[in-house]
Amino acid sequence: MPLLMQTLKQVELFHDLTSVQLERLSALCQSQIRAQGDVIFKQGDPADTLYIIASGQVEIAVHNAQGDLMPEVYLGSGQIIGEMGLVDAGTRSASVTAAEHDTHIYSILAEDLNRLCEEDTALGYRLMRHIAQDLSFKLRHHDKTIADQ
Amino acid sequence: MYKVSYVEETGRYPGGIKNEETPPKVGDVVQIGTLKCEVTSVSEIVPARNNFQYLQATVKVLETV
Repeated sequence: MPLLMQTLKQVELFHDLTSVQLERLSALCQSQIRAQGDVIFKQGDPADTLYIIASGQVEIAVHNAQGDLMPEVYLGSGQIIGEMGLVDAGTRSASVTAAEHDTHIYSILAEDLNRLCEEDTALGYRLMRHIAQDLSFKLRHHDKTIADQ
Repeated sequence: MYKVSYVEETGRYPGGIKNEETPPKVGDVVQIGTLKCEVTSVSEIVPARNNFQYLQATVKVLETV
């Protein structure tokens, strides 16, 4: 199995897709290697792309009331970023920066992914269910972090 | 596969989320961003689904890298 397909299979979002569905999805993926400190997107940017972290880490940070950029969470291999924009088409709610050298990410244009979901509604149902589960997990993580403060 | 939420025990530092091939154990040292941390507790956060188990690991900061 090619590296991209193996990576996608280990991402919760895509783990139960069929081989044919994974192949269609992988055709939409663009590979990027980012250096530490590379900005992937900024808070307020248009949200038009979903990202999958294959290896390395990214920092998710938001501006506080004083305008300082504050790290909120680090996401590592197998995690997705940009899924909120896929759901609500809003702007980026946070800034994302590569936190390790040679952070390997895959990007998928939201427009392409939405088209694929409409063409294959079984795939679309699974993806949207898994996006909801991923958002729920991130919310639980956030709640626990707040509770410990 | 283990999807792990790493939460720093004081809440003063950002935590992390990543997939692991083996579950974290108490005493393990993990890198979260610029922080080197030690795992102090591990618990299930939600029930397992399919091939994924969902864990929460509390960590304490050992040093900033």
